[in-house]
Amino acid sequence: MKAHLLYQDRDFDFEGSLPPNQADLVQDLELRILLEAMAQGDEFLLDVATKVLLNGSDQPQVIRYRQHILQDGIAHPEIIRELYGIAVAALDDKRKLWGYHSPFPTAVLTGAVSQLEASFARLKQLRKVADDHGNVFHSEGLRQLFDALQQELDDAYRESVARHLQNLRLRNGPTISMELDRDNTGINFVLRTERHPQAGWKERLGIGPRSVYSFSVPPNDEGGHRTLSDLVHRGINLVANAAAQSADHILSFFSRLREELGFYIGGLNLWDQITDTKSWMRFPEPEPSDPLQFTTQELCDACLILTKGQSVVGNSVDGDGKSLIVITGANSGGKSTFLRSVGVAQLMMQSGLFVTAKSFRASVSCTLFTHFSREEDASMTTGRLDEELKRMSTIADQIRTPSLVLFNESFSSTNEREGSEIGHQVIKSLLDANVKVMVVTHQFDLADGFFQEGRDAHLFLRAARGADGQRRYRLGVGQPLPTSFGEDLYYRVGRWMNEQTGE
Amino acid sequence: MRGQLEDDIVRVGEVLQAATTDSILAMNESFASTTLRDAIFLGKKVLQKVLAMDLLCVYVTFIEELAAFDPAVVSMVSTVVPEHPVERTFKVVRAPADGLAYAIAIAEKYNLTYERLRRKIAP
Repeated sequence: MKAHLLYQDRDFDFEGSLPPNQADLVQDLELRILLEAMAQGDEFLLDVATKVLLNGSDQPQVIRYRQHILQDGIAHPEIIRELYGIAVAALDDKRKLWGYHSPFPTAVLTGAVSQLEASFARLKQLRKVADDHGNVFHSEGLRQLFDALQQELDDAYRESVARHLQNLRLRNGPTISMELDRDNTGINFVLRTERHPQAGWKERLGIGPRSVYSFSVPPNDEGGHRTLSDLVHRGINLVANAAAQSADHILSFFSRLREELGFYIGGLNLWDQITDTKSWMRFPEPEPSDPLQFTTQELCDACLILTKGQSVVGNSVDGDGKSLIVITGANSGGKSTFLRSVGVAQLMMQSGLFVTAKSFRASVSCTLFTHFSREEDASMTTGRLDEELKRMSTIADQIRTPSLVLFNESFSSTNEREGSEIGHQVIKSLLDANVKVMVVTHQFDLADGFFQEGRDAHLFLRAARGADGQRRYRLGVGQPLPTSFGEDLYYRVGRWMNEQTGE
Repeated sequence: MRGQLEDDIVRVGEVLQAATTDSILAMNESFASTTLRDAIFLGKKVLQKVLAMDLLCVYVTFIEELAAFDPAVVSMVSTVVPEHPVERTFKVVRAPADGLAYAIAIAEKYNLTYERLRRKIAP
């Protein structure tokens, strides 16, 4: 039996490594906030959420497969949480029972049988959930799991398992058959099902041939007991190993189930918290990477919503067919926030989660990269320019197409002319290699350079500034300007020259 | 929520508020998070204040306009090995700003030119 809740036909590889740029993604997009909201203080859920979020799928059908499961979960969270609780309890059972990885087959068998009994009790609980609630789910993933529980754990099967486990308890000691080899050593040890033959009347009277010839090892015969226990060990070795393997097998099913359901528990936790803020939550529409699609209404940064605990200003962008989106404009105008909201939404979409937007339709990308300007390296080992160019060089080493790269005020740790020139060469080479790029920049030379090319595949957004100089964190289509309105920011919060008037 | 530039302006304002004629003010690439035009405007505002207060200020910047803002400003330039500009000498000498940051030479060192990137990233 397989959980298969993240892929239709395979397990999610939780042992696999995270993408090499994961630390940058977590730092630049402030993913810690999102992941902690999913985990709710549970280390295990944090680990699962991190792996699934950062190792998203680039297959739209896989993403939809997960979306449908999460939608079922959102409609009936208590059932998903109950299933998860059973998986957790099944793995807890293991911790409470004696391990069955012992050099002694008898100990292995006893341990494994106890484990199997416990696990089958949990499987029965799962089956009961499937019986009671199976019909409320519509997703292929959960239907498949419930069908398997109902078909593979039918009554006949459960009875036979119960009988086998009963026999394996060997309450009356093991019955072992063996043959003698040429040198009279025992070979072909077989553990026999326990039987209690009714002895015939002749035998009972002691006048007929005996069905059983037996002798007892005297209590003080240490050598005899050692030999006997050796014979028992050899006799039950095969069965003990088989039982241990079965126990491991079922436990590994519960492990997978716990991991894969764990992701949806994280999704439900996130859903609950964002519901409280009355923000938009929708399941995105994942599209193939070609042709490029990116259209969203009221897209918000999920991490910002979680930090503020309330809804935030969203942005709407019609960017289908655009390989380059350049965002310029007012300071404190929500440019970085928008860029982060795109990155976070892209990761959420590709992992199968909902996004915080009224609508979000986007092409999947192989990998998402972020290149955000950072504070100076405190260890003083490299300069800022060196540090950011080195990060860019690492991205170039790792990038595969089609990918999405988000630049936030990159190449600004040098003068404008040279920074723009470097930025232009880097971005141009990415675009020509079929990589999609979004850039937040204050470098007018850089932004205007692309604007002057006048290409259809380029989109220019500008952070708006209200008539009163008030920023509204909303972006609109607009060409780059040589000012980011830093001047009126100075008159609002600086004004250390004690000027009387603003302009 | 404040943007990076707003933070910068507020912080500089607080520092200037606390400064006296006896203070030494060190500015390191302040106002990087805006357009060149805004950064020149804000940098000049700081220098005006510094000159008005007559305090000693060391101002590290890429904006050459600030180095020539007033006769009281001394322009200093960090230098490179002339025939090998990637190599910094870490020597800062008194000289007029020439607008050369040699950043492109460093970008070349990291193979971040158009040609080399195109070769590296397969379409």
